[in-house]
Amino acid sequence: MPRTATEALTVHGRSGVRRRGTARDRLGSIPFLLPAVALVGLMLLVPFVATAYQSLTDDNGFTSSFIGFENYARLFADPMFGQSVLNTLMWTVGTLVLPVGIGLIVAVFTSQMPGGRWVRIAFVLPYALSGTATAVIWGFILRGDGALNQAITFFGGTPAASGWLIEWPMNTIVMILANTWQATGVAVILFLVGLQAIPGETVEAATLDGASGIRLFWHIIVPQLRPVTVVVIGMSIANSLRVFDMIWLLTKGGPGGSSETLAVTMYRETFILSDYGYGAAVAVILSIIVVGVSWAYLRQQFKAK
Amino acid sequence: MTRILRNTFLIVLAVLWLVPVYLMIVNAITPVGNYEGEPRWLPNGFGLWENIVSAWEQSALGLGLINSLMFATASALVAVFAAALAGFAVVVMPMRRPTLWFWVIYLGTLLPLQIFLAPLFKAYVDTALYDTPLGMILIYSAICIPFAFFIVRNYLTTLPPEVAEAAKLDGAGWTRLFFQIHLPLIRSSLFAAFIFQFTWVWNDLLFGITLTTSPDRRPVMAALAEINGGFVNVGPPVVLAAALVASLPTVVLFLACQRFFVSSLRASA
Amino acid sequence: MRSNSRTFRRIGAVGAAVALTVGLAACTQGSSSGGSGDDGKTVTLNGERADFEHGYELAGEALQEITGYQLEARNVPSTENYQQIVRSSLKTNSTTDIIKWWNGYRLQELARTGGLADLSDAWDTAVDEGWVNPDTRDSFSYDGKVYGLPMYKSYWVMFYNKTVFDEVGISPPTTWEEFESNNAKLKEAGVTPLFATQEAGWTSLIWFEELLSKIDPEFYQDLMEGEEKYTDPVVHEAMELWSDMAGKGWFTSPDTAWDNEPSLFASGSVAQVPMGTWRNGLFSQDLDEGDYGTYMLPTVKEGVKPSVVVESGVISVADNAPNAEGAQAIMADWLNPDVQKPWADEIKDTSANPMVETDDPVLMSTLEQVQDAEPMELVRYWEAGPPALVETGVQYLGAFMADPTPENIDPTLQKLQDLADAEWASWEESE
Repeated sequence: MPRTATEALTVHGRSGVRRRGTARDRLGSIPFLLPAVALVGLMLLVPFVATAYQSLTDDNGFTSSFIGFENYARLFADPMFGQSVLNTLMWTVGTLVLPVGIGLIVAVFTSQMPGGRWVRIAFVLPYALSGTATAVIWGFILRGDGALNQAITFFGGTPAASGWLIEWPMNTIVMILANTWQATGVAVILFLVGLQAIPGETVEAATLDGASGIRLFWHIIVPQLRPVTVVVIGMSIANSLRVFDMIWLLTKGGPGGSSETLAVTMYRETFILSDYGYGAAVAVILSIIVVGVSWAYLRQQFKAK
Repeated sequence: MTRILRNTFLIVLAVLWLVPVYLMIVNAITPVGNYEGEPRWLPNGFGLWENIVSAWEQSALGLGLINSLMFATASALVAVFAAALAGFAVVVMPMRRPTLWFWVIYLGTLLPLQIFLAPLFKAYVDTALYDTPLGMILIYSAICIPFAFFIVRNYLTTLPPEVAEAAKLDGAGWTRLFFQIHLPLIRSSLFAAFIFQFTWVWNDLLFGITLTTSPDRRPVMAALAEINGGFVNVGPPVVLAAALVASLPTVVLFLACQRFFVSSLRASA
Repeated sequence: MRSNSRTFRRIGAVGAAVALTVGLAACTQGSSSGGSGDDGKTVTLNGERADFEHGYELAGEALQEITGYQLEARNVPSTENYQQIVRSSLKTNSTTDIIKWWNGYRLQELARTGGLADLSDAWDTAVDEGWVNPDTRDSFSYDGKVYGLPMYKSYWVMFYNKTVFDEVGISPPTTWEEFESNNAKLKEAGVTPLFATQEAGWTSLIWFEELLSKIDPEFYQDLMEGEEKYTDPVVHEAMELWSDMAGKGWFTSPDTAWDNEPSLFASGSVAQVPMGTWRNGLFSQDLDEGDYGTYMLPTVKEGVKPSVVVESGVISVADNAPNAEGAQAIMADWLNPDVQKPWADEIKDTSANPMVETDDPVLMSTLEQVQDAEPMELVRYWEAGPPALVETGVQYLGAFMADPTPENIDPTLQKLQDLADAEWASWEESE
């Protein structure tokens, strides 16, 4: 006898057949969609279209003239663009693997250990801190005279001659780690929400069948977490490609643009060099990449349903 | 045995994770006068209150906190509600192209935020929304919707269609269905979405700086930025103390809401 | 479970009520900042220096007494955002009457869009009254007309920590050899001799301009005007010197946070900091008068003309200023000693008005040294060339600082020259 409504409903699983519905039904969905679509469309999509148009112009903030795809041509010929793309890729891989992986482990393990709630706080706390505080702190830790080098000296090693932020690829790697520190919290919380949805019986039944530890983890828990994993990965992809605050506040994309990602390049071109058209072109390219990758990933997930 | 190893590993990792926060607190406590240009591992005197007072006076932190509270609460609530409505429409209600609408809304969270700064600034100035609370709430709500929508939508897909069908057989209209059946069921995802968006809005810097200018409209991170430039006469300890104060609400929110994220797995441990 | 959901619903209801009230309240609150003051008696000013707030107040009081107009200052706490905001609003109705900007080519870039009002009359009046040095007109004008008035006149000198100097037994150098031996002694004593960083982005230009101008100031000027090349042997010499000094470990780590500079200087970890006198306000907070001072960096060889890098922020009037009359009135008396004295004293820098004397002992000593040396006045790198050239140029210089080896000199200079060629062409094109 199912004990709660949720349990009663999860017995059957999803049938996967969607009714077309009557026209009245379809009309009825309009008021439900309206607030979200109106807000997002007006405040976000319209400016994006404006930016896309701007990428076809030579705009310095005061005057603009139409130049077609010249900005894009210049972009692809720019050696800094290649560096930017490379860094963006590194960030994508890094922020996909680390926060998601660590987040999953932390969520599952802490939900199974006594006092796990308290241990979890350590991981969730960083996300609640402001970008300013995080950048100041990681600056403290990573600079030549910073806490990390102090610790290394304390334990008897020789610290990096210059700071960790000076050379590529070390500066990008180290910033990815700093970002992981903050981003893991989100993954932990989302995985927790997912874990909460796993019905107790499923786990009990599996344990009774003799599954435990890793088997339980891989074959029962992870598949049940699929919908949440989609959210976490989808979000990680989007965020990784748009990382800005951490990089800007720690290195401003330097030295010499070595740690720039596309989002940083876009900001620099637009706000520092006041080449709005060029910056818009970078923004459009970045958007295409983000949307493309997200679509490729989510498409799989939609199909699998 | 493996359990003990696992737990130890987690605890060690957690301690390492806390080190940056520890550093932040230590250096915020150090009085500005005793700060020597390098981060400290142990506080050099107790100056937390004077640092906070200094930050408070120099940056209109109090006003910033109030504004941020207003913006974050209102925007997150609006966003979560709109996202729930839209998620319901896309998943539960029959539609011709649910995927299309999903992408229209989800797109909002994929675009780099800096894209919006210049066009929005111009538009806000033209429509007199510049430097107004309404303007801030509008943009914040819009930005928060896509991600909240993503969370809610995915959570809704885990619910079987029998729920809706059973209720419709009873003659329930969509509205009743939404408010009485689905909304309670997706509670935890709504909650998670609210917390994330509240935090995001609270921690936003760029929009606060670009779309407001008066201290009595400015959110707290923008107020903080006033004392974090290289030109201002405060040292890192004051900035950190201010950042601590500014982050306190979100930290409290996170910690207080921990108990809502109880996993059903605990029973089997 | 039950009570949880009830609590949750209650919280949700309260939250919704709060949001509703807040939202309603928000809708009724209009903007507190129109482009103009309401009564025609206020003149608005925009800037990105939060530390000028008190200065604006004091100057505003003086200006109100003289002109009858009130000054209302606003602030954008980020330089990049400030620039974007000015660009977006300068030619619209929502611009402030007055904006703070930079002189030299940065002012020119703004002036040639037609967004700034002609201030030649205010300038001429000031010259007649003796309120400003007429020789400096060029760096405030474009196409023969003046578009900005100087906010201050900062000199770039070496700040040094007297306590440390006394402990190590050295005194401010008068020749380059003395400078080098000082640094060696400081290094031996465990003190970092010189501050340098590329962390803040623009700070990488400091040592470049100092070293180059102390080798050949006229060359520096020509290079800035685009009439010499970065690949010239003179520049090479400066870079070699830079590389040599870095090799001897005389500089702080290139990623040192610029925010830490005052603390490092005050605590004696770093003995000397090359900076504009506008930094004096910060230093004077951490150090007592007797503990620090300034000296002018000696020329590298005898017989080289003495020079000093000079910097002046400007205030300009928007062509579209909502209160143009008030703005012009303010401008006419901005350089008035009655306004400049409280202003300069508050921001602890030297006024562009030569008649205004400073009370600060460090500034006084600086002014004396400058007057004695009669140096050539050079525009800071930041304002001395087309902005796009400078912004990317400092990046290349920063990359050099991260790797200041002799092998890196030629590649860096070549990159700089290619950049200069491209950007000068682009600048000329937009004329």
